Amino acid sequence: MSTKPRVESALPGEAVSFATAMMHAPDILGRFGELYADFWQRGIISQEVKEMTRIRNARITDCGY
Amino acid sequence: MPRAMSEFVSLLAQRPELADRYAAFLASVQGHAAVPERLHALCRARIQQIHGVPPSGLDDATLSQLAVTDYSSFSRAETTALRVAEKMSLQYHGITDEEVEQVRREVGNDGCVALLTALSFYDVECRLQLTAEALDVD
Repeated sequence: MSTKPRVESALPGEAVSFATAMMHAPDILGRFGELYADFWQRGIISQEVKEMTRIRNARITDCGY
Repeated sequence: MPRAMSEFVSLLAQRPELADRYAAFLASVQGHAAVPERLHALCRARIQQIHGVPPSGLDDATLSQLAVTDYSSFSRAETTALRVAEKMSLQYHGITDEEVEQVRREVGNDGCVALLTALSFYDVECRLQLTAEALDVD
């Protein structure tokens, strides 16, 4: 597992993060944001259940997010 | 290879707006200029093979090479991308800094972001397809 950022920030002076790394491809980031927002804000499954499954998935995959 | 449609998208038809947004997202990933279409096709097919999902979008000879990880006839960029694709599904913590750096050198920062995003969602597509099949969802 990596212990350092693998892609630098696309925004000069800003720390690397998921968003600032993804800004190397802003169109992809924008489309991802639209997809993610739809996933979280719509549908019959509550946000609480979605958040529980997100956290469970993050723990299983040892993801810092 | 269809640029934006997949069985994953057809499964999402039960949530049409989500399906539309996924199709638009995937089109932006696959349409990114820094990553050739063939690179996507190779990596997607290899990830499908790893999951046991029927691969698509490539000729039989190429699929046979992928199945036995014979990358000798592929370009350096293709081989580099496939090495990361090999690990994306089941060995994601095994992807090394050097392997990602090699991808970055081949396709640049923007291509690296596009390719890694593509690989992760090709993996997602397979997982949802297999899950839906197990649940008999159509």
